[in-house]
Amino acid sequence: MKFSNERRGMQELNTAALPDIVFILLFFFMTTTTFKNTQVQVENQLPSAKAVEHLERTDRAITLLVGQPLKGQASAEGELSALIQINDRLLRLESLENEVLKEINAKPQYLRGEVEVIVKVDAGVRLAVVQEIKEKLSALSVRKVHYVALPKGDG
Amino acid sequence: MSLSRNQAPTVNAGSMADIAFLLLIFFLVTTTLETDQGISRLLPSSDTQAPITKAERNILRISLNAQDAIMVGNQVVSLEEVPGLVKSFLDNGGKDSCSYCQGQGLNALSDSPKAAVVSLSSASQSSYALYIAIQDALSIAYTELRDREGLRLYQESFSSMKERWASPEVTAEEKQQLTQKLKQLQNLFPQQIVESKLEPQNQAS
Repeated sequence: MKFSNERRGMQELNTAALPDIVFILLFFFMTTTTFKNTQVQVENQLPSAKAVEHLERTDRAITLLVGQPLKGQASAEGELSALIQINDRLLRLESLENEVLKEINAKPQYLRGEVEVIVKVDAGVRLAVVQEIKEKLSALSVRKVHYVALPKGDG
Repeated sequence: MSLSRNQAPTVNAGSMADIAFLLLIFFLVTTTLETDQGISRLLPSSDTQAPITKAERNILRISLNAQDAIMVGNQVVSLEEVPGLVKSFLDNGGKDSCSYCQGQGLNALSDSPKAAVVSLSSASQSSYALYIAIQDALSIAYTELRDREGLRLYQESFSSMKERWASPEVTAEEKQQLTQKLKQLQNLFPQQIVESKLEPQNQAS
């Protein structure tokens, strides 16, 4: 008898399409991932603290960077006072309320009532600026504030 | 030659999938989402300006002046002493019945942790770094006391429960239990911090 036409063992699975599937996965993740690439335009040397905790729920957070403007960006009059950066905009203290309101309005409706603020303040900033920011935020009834600090190890 | 074939040679693409999978897994593993760490505080609401009607012993006054000196009560102290002082103030266990307090029940310090309020006033010229250091010291004091009670009541410290609560692998049921325990511990030592501006005093007087 002749067996040459019959195959022995298991039939091989066709895996030719597998690379395509995986590549599609890879491309999907590559294209849907967005990077936040806002450039820091103020001096931002964060203070350090021991009892730091992670911030959850970043979807409802607005980030403020506070510090002296960097050398290249120094404005004519605001040289001495600290500036605030929201996203890509540099603002002075006086216009903070408006800009925060804008940011709140940009959030989805169900989050607007529970907006939290992440403040990244340069360690060298005088407290007056922070006190001012706190007053303005509480006037907008934005009450949860998260002071970002670098974790410091024990001992 | 007898070995040559008519068809074009095919590239073996079987390992292509493995390579792509390795790439995918490598990027999945090495990508870390940067989350900020820091100290959370609740600002006072702007419309309530209720005068404080607390007994003086239930208020611990901490002040920062423009020269970055720290004063707790009536004494100038160093930063390292602050958590200890705050702890002994909160944990005093004065005349109110506070079964879990381990303090000495001094007359000068708080009645109970629930009545105790820390008042932090800071000059506008103090540095932000010091302000955060003080906030950190307060957090340390509260966390250490809550840790102690957590270990006593649930055999697990407050901070490790909190970590477990935030971790993604916790189940819904566990999370609910943890939430309850955490709330319980927070109620034992509620964080009551009042912040105010230190008005510059007249040098003349």
